[in-house]
Amino acid sequence: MKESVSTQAPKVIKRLQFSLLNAQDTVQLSEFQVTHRDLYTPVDRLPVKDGVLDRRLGTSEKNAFCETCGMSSVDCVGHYAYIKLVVPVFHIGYFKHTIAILQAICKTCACVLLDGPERRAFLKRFRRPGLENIQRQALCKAVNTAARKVVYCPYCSATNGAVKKVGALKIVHDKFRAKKTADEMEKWKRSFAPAIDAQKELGMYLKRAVHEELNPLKVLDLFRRISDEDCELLGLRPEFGRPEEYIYQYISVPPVCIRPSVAQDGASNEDDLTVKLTEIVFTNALIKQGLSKGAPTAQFMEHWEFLQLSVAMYINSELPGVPSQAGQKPIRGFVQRLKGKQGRFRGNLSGKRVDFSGRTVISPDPNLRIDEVAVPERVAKILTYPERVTPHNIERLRQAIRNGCGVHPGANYVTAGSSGFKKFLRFGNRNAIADGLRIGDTVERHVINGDIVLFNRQPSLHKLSIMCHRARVRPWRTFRLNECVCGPYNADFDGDEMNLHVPQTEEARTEALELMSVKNNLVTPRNGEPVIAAIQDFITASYLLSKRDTFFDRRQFTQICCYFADADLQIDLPPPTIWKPVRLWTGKQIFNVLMRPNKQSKVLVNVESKCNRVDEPDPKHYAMKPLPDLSPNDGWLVVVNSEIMCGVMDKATVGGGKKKSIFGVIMRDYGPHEAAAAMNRVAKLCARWLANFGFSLGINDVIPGPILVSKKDVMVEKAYAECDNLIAQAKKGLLENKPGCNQEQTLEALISSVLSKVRDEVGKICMIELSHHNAPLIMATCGSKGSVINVCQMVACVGQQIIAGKRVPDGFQDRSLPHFPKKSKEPPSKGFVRNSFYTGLLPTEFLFHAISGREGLVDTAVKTAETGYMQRRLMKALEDLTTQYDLSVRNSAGGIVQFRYGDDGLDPACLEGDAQPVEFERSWKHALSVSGRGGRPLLPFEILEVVDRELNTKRFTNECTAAYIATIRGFITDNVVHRLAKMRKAHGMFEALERFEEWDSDTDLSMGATVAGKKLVDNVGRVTEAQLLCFLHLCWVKYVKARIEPGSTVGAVGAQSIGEPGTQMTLKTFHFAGVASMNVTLGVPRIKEIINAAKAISTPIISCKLVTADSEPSARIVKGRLEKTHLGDVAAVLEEAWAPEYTYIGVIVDMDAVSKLQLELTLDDIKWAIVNAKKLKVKQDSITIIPRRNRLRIYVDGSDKYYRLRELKRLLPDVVVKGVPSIERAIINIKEKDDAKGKKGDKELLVEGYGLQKVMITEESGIVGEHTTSNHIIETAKVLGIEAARRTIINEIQFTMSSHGMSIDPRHVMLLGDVMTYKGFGMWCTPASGRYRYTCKMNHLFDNMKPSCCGFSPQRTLGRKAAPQRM
Amino acid sequence: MSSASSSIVFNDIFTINNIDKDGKKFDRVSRLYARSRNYDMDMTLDYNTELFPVSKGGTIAMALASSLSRDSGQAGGGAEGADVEDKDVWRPDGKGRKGLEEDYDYVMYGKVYKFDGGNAETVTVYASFGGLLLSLTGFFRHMANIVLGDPIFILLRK
Repeated sequence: MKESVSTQAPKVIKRLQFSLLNAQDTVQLSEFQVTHRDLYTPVDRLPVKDGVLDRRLGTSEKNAFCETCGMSSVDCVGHYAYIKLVVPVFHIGYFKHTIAILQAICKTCACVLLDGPERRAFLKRFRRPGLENIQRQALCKAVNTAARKVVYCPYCSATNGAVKKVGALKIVHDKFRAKKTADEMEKWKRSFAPAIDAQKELGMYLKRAVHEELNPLKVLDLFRRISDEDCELLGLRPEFGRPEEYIYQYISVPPVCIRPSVAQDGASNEDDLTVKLTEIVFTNALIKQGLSKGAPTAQFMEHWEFLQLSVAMYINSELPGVPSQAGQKPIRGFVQRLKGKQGRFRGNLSGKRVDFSGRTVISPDPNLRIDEVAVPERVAKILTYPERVTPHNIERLRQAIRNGCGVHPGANYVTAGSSGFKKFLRFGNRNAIADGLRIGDTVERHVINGDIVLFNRQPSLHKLSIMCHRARVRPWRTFRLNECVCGPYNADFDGDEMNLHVPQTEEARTEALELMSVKNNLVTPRNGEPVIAAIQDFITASYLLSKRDTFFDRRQFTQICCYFADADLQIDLPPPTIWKPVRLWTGKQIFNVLMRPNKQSKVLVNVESKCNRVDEPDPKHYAMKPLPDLSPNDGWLVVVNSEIMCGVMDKATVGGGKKKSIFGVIMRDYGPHEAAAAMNRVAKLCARWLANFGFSLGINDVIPGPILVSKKDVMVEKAYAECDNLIAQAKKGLLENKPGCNQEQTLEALISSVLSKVRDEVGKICMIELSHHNAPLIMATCGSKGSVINVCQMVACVGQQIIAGKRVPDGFQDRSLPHFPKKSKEPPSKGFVRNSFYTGLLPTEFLFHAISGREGLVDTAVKTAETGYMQRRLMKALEDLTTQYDLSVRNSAGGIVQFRYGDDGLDPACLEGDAQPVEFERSWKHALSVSGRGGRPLLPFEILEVVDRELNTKRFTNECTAAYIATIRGFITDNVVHRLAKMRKAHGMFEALERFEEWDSDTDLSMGATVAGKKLVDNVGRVTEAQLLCFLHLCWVKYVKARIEPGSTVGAVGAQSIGEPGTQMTLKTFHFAGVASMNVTLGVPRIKEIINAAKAISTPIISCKLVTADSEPSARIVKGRLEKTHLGDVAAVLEEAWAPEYTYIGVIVDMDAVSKLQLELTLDDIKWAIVNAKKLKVKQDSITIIPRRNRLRIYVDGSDKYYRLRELKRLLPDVVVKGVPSIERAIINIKEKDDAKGKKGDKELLVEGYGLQKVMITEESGIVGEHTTSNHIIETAKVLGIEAARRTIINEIQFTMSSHGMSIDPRHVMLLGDVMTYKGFGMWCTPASGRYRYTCKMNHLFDNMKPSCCGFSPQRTLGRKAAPQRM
Repeated sequence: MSSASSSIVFNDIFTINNIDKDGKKFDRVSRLYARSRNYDMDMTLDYNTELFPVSKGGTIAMALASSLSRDSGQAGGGAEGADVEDKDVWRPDGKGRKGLEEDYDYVMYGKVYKFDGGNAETVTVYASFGGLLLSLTGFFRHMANIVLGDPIFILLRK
């Protein structure tokens, strides 16, 4: 058997260095020179000697042997040969670099075109130790740009022009491009004069000859002459590669085994590489022949070009500029072999195929535990685990061997420990083998119950997509899992298939069990909410069971209690709720028993939370302001010591996604095992009970009652009338425009709101009018499936169909369908469906609904591809970040990204509160209830003393941060001590917040309060020492548990936490808060913009705080100052004036309008605006101002006066005279709620466009600069610095996610922000940055970079497990 | 008001003002709103309408008791033994002290779980009987014997 865990540490690759394969090396590692173009001899079809299939290169045939090493095709690794090219050719991979180098050197003396000081400065920077690849590239670029500008070589004074690529593989040197070299060009041209005189035809070619062609021969000569020092300036390191090696002179012929021939009945099929190689050999031979025979130059050049092209195709067949022959399948060059998902890197090195795995359809089984998976017997007989024989298992393994391969608890192979000899158990005498089994042997036995397996469903978007289950071998053919575990896999049972893997070593099993087991992954690391929880029918059943009016007699109650266990559980029956006239138990008591089946159980759940639907109790009906407990629909859950006081079990209380659900609470307080056990009980109970009770949906459930029908009709008619009214008003132009909207947009917004309101209202009526036994209604109320809108659509009204965020657009001329009048804006013609699915849709309605449905499908399809790519890029950017022993986050190269993970070193998966380790309120109640009320009540000052004493103990001071201790103290002081003191005071007792010297145990601190008063205070505010200590202990334990472990893969988890919710987002834009017209991009496109740090984003918005936030007029003034005003807006007249001595354009400024617009604009400003407008080219002194008459005159002179004047007149109205030109528009927004930048109702200015700096510094314009933010990351980085950019990234991602209703722990987003900014400049997660990380991209192989090889992906590529930890 | 030695912690006669003010949400359970005659107390109670049908305007006698024994609940000797027996009182063959229920038509068993208010004179006591809620609002002195977190019986008679 192969040793899976090696005891001998292999050699470690520390560094990789790419270099160029030069001619010497090529020849040195070769066996011979390839000269023959034929592949096989014509007679016996053997490989031709000195051909590209020569046997000395190895062989791909089974019955032949390599002629170099004499081994068979299995053992021979292959040998190389070479082709000597007669003329050099460019290497396509280095073509770009060749051009770049040519641009930087003198085309005469081959020196880098930089003068002494500059050259030295660059050299110094290149020689800096520890230079990173990005900086190196930036330097190369800088050298290139500097050198390109030089026209005269500083060393030989030769003229240098631009070097350009012409066609696919041709480089030309445009020597006399610079204007100042015009005379030289003339001179150069004149030098041809005698020749032209002699031969007239030459003249027409002279122009073409100005572009000097740089053919490989010339380039080679130049490159050879570059000095080593100059190489450094070009970003090369001469010890690893010199520029002349960029040009091919000798081509290495790879071994046959990488390009095997496929023999097919007589003929053989050759690999693309082989074909290309023969082509190269052939062309090479042709050229050689031509040279020796003296063939015409044109022919030679043609052959040379063909050779060039063949060599290029050999390396990279996807050449831009080379037309691929249509109908012919593109050949697979080297680049194609390596690149892409199926390429060598991603397909074979990073991703490999595995053994010991299985895949089949999944189906549900609520009787399995949540951490189990049912494995079909036939699968279990194939997948094996190699178990070492010990004295404890020898009998069992003997039996397995006797059973052999065909009978289930059997075995497939036995390996003797002594010899390592492996026996297959299908044949041979199994009994004899079993009897001869010795301790130390290894038996590959079948998978049995309790074995550890990994279970996975694609797409594996987060770490919960592959979890560790216990196998349970069952009959039939599907994998089965508990429905509760569908959530993290995102699995359903409509034909989904899943994969199963069997870890093969004890180490792997342990690791899987600890890190990946279902029980340890009940919560998502995204935000610590439970993901494994009751779903669908479980929720329905729980809801029906726990409704207030379910009563059971003793027989029923005990029967139901038996449902949730397998007769292996002691169940203590609680006393009934109703004792007289008959003994009855309520449904809630079932859940009491379920949470805590017997008195021995320590699970005491304490929780108070909202249910899925809460109806607030009406305060008018109650004497005192009622607590939410009194909710008429039982929508408030209170559980005290595992007894449900009120509330139902629905989505919010037994489902996933809520930290305060029953399972979430049990998990935090009593550990995942208890939570899983409770979930197992719920699954069994619900499945069994609901199967008996029955829950079905029929046509009856969607038939509306007469009241509902009439009410709905009235409402729809009213809405139609309202819309008609709006349309009529809009026609007359009487609608008041919404900010930033025109009449049409305002009308659309109003109609949309009317129509969406009507559907919501009809939905509400449905909820009231339908019977509460209606199945869809029950499902919508308890949240198990569907929503109110879905019920409404089936029963009453389907509602408005939305396409691309708007009502149905016009598909015909001025109308959506020919069924409607032209220009009709009425609801039915724009896609409002008033029918329900029950009544049936009209043909037009049906079509609109189908359009909308199609859009949804397309959207999902597009979305999956896009988010997948986004996820991949996020992962590539963050994959190697881990926490170290000092809780800092570092990458694999040891670079620090965060000094302390998330600033507090806490694990998002272990946080109980909202990004806090402890939910104080609930923990306090829990501590009060759990510790009981026995013992002496403490006085307020005593409480403070106990708290201080405890918080000063070592365990608190050593383990917790000061900030955390302060929050604990703050909580107790505010919520416990002061409350108690206030209550004491109200009932006439001494507050006792401080201890006084003279008090002793006899001092009466109640100051003679009544007995009833004391009892009340005792009831409400009693705190004992035991309770207090219990609470403090909880706080400590939870904090310590929540600390992140060193070595956590925070980067990968963070990337998944941001990428995975992306798949749930729809690609829609959202409305910006308050302003209908100002949409901001949200969803996947926005996240993409953020992580790419796109330069041009679709909705750049700068939000500004105003100095006077409460005044509308001043806001308008500021708006006027920022928004651009064109000259055309303020000019009353633009006139031409022609006179013999002068011509001018006269501008008459309408100062009245200027003052009305509250623009502070003077004629001088306008003059300067015109002068500064570059396009106009108006000189300052050609403008005169006539202030009295508000006039400007722009004088025009020169020969082409007329055209110049016309041009000016055309351009002048567009001159921006006021405001920031890069701003599109500004909108005054009224805040909807308080935040850091102001109160509710404050005005703020939202500016659409770029130019943060200009907006900020127009201080006198009434904007508070320090409260001005932009959503544009690059701009923020430029204007405010990289820290501000980090903040913007974090805020923008959080904003985008939260507007889609998704919560992500701030720590993940912070990590992403830090990764993008920690180097001080943007490291955006673009595909290019993935390339830099040496993943699977080709280009950088050619980029001559120093690849890092310690990251995660590089390590995988090198075949190792993970990055070595640097401590 | 009950004597200190009795197991009854509260006792009064209520007039039913209204039933299901917030709308009828459940088939077999309704919420009644009642006002006491003697102590000026307001009560809301969820009850099983099949077992204890009442109508608007009717009067009911209500008692809250810590146990079903006719005499004191706490003062009985050997509290431990009594407690254990009290637990199984409900069983048909159950031992333990009972008798109080004989005077009433409808008896429920539950727990006092919340006191609301504490700074003013009016307080509300919340008790839950297997999910059926009782809220009792009034002057705190009348509820001095009700202890938070204790099991409690509610006894009703028409």
